[in-house]
Amino acid sequence: MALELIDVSKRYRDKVAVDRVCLNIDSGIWGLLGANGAGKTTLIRMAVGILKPSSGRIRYDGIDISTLGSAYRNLLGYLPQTFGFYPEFTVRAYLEYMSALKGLSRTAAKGKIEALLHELQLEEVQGRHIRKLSGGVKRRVGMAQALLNDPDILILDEPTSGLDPGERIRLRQILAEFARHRIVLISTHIVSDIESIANQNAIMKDGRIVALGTTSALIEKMDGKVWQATCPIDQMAKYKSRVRIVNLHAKDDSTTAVRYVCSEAAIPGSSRVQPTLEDLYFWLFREEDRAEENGI
Amino acid sequence: MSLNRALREECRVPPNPERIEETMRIARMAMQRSGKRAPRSYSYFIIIQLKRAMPASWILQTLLVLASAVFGPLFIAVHYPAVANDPRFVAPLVGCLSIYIAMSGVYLMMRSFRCNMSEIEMSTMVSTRRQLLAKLAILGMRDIAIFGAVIVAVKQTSQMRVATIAGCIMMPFLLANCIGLTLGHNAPSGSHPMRIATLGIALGLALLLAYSFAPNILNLFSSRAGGAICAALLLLCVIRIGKLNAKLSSMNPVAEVD
Amino acid sequence: MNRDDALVRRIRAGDSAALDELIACYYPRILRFCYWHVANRNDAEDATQDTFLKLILHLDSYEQRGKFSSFLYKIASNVCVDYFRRSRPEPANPEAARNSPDIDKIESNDSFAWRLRNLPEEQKSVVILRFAGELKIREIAEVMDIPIRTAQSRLRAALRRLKLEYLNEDRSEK
Repeated sequence: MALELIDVSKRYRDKVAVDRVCLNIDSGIWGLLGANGAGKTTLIRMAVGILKPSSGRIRYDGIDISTLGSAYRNLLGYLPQTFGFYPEFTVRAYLEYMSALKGLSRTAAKGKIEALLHELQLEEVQGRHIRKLSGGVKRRVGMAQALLNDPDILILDEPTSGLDPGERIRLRQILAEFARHRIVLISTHIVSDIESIANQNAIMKDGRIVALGTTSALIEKMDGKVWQATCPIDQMAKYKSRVRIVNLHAKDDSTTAVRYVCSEAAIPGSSRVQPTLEDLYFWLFREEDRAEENGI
Repeated sequence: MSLNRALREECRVPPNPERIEETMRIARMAMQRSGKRAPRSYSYFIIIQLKRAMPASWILQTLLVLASAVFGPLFIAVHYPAVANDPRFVAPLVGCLSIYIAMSGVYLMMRSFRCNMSEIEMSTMVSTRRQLLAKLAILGMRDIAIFGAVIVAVKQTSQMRVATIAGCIMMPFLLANCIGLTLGHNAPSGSHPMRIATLGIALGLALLLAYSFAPNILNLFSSRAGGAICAALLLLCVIRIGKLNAKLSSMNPVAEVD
Repeated sequence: MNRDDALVRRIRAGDSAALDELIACYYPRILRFCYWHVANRNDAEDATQDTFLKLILHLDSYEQRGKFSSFLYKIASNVCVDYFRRSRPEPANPEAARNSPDIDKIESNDSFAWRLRNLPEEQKSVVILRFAGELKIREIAEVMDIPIRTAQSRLRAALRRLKLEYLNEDRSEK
């Protein structure tokens, strides 16, 4: 069971959204990390088969997904970033509609819907209109529809957006359990969401994969590059341009605790700390790039 | 020896019978394993399309229109016989009804984009072509029922010929579909219900004005030229539906280099 | 419904005799195809077996419209790409040829086989599909996912190249 992306590119008139990406995705949880505009959603859509690559091939189990056609979609569960629904749908009506589109029989659909409503704690809201639900509950409904056909491949685009911390943890648990003999590909810009559950990660920037490997292997790259220091607030300005700040925390005594990434200690009194995947993310994505994306 | 013959001979590779047996044995095992996956069904899909693809309000509208299409002409024939017998009144009313029916159909076909459902629908096992065909089939049955009722009711209560009544229905209906599908395809906001409603009202008014200033338009509907125009409009509708299907099947945007 | 589609229908219903019949019919052709796209005979037989296994796993995706052979060759083509990537091709040389069961044929056409094997990949595929797979140009275009004209021009170019070399060989032997 493997989903292969071989030299996949997507070119538009004014930009290259995905540039010669090669990935060999086997069972387990894969994280696809990157800032907004990195090309993750474009890549995800090509992996789902709803967007045709400009060049390259995507194969499942050695066969082109375009050759497989509906047989590939039969194995797939997909939750897009923009999750829509018809306004008159209640949760149950929506799941019935989606189960029919996934080709389930009436009996199979009924059983599966009951099981998912229970597992994702949607039983109480099953009769309510989706448009009246909170963002987090809507996301759970979206997850439920992705799991209806018991897919071999689950592809989720920003699944945790709008979820509170408790719901994020719950979702991670569901995914970890689900991924045992399946392929799960999660695209996100929130590193902490997948750091603890992803077996492998690919980091995307400007349409390319800039880092690839297991979480521990990627974190190892940051050994000796992550520092922690305390410095007066009024001196922070001069260090900001020299280092990539991961975290700032103002303390009571008008000093700041700062966690930063740099090839060497740049702030006096710095000590090395254990790196995380988020540190690698900050290392790869410069502060000004992130500021641009956030409109700062 | 000719090149072709040399190639055919060169390309021969005698197979090993033991390997063929082994392949058959392993393939049989694989076939047994793959049979364990639950079979997929299309019949439930058809039932759910009838049950869920049409909003309740849309179904209610359809029933109201059907009722007024049947009882409206009867009511007019009883209380206003002069109007019922005058094609100058009947034809525009029937035309406006057909425009309304067309716009409600366009709205339904475009709903996937409007409600951001198209991306998820594209990724499911049932192809978007089948999904669209199911919607067209339901719309077709509805339209045939309503227009059939209109033709029968108008025929009973007026002197108009069936061909003329059909022309008064089909030409505005097909024209409204062409325009509605074109605008909905080219402008994402064209699928907004208010815009579709505005388009419908505008077309209705244009039709009324056409009847007011060029009453001879009625003769066109029952003529061969009218038939030819309807055929051309039908072809355009088929093309637009094909383009809609292409759009529903893929996220490829218009501005693209391949 | 043609014979292949009838067999597929029976296989989907669980008829293993139909599966055996299909394999018996297509095994030699797929073996011939794989032989020219992988490093050696062993790999060719393994690739042929893999092709039929993948066919079983993904039989649901075949829409019965009389294009079964194109569908099967597409699977074989993908399988061969995997095998080629995994192992480097062995150059045809007298030492290697002596270990092969087809030694007589290869030795007598050694240089011709070598030239065929070393055609540009896209030309070789077209030639193999045409002469080993006995496919029509339209079917070849479907398998390779190229326009019919492209398939025709690749075949012409390949034959022109081979013809020249074949004729030169012929003359030099005489």
